[in-house]
Amino acid sequence: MDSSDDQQVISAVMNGNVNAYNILVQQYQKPIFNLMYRITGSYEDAKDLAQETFIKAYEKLDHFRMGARFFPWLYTIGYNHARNFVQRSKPFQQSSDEDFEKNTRLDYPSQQEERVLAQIDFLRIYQALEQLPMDYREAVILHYHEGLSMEDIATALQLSVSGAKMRVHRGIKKLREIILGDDHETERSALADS
Amino acid sequence: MRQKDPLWQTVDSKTAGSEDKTSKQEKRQVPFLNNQMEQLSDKDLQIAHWVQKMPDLEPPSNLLTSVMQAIQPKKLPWMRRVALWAGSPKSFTFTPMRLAPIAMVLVGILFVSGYWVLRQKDFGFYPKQAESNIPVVFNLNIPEAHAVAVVGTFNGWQPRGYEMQFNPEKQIWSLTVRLPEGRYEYAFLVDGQRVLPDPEASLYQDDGFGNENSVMILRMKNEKTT
Repeated sequence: MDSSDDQQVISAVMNGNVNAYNILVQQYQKPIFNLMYRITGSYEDAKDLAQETFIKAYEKLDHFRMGARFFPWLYTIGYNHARNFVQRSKPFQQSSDEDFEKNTRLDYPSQQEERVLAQIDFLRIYQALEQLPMDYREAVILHYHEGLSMEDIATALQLSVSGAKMRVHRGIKKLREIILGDDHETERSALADS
Repeated sequence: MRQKDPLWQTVDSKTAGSEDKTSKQEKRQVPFLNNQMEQLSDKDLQIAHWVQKMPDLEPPSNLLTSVMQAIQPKKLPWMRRVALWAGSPKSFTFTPMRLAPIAMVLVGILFVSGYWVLRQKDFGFYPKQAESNIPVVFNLNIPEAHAVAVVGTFNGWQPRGYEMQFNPEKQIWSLTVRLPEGRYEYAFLVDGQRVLPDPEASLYQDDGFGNENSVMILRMKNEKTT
């Protein structure tokens, strides 16, 4: 669904067709839920926050500027809502690997070995992402995972475009540092064992 | 939803060859950084590829249902509701019996409005009430006064709105008012306290309290000057 489809759906919702909102929720529930999960580390909290985000967005739909892209706007609402939740209710929670594995349906390489290797890579990247500051992590994910442009990332994270570029660029560098650091640790352990 | 960046093709083509050791040291430009002439190393590209392919958690199956159950249809502003109503086709059915009262009301409105228009037209032949009144000029020679007003039967003996203006050249207080035909008693209120009859009036009347009021009689086409 492209941006113009979003606009049509939003127009229908604004004209009183509440069921049309169903399409937007279906379309964006996965990235919004994953955003909440990354921030809270809790499956239940992520579910509640995702639900509240969509309800909030529905209530604020009158303020949505037609012609703009819906997802960055929705993401801004969700991002702010999740940050408020974390600041208000509890300290930052780290999600557990078990939680990740339990809820992840890896539909990737068919061969078992490749599947395990892929899982290891993804777990490592996921753990590394968790170590990034929140706005760096979200900028990297929005760009490389959600495929958003720098302008849309700037909208979603309420930054300037140059600020968004900086966070994406530095975010990927920091990720590399974290992952390479882990690799070096592993190599050192292996050498010590031998 | 996702606008795939040309980076993906770059990364995919690179990683499809899986670990091409010979090009490990090569730097590749990423489209969004082209303007800044910044580059990502192969390692960064690999990381970007992992981030791209990182699996998402599936949202709870009841998330959609719970959202849709929680939201209510939007209450549209009345102007939008009217616009929607007016913009959608409508069909009306009626019988002559139902139409009769409406027709009667319409005829009634037509009759009343026609009568009103004709009446306005009739009155249009006559001068307006204010224009038909007779101009009356009050003068009082009392230069030492600070404020003078005319009070009388035409204004309920209330000075408000009937304050006279002092003419320094002629050294007199003066006021012009337009009054309909009739007989009027009047006097001058000097400095808000003293009541003086008009010394130039031709008629006077005892006010019943030991003082006299001036009297004037106005008739159409006779300008009265006191």
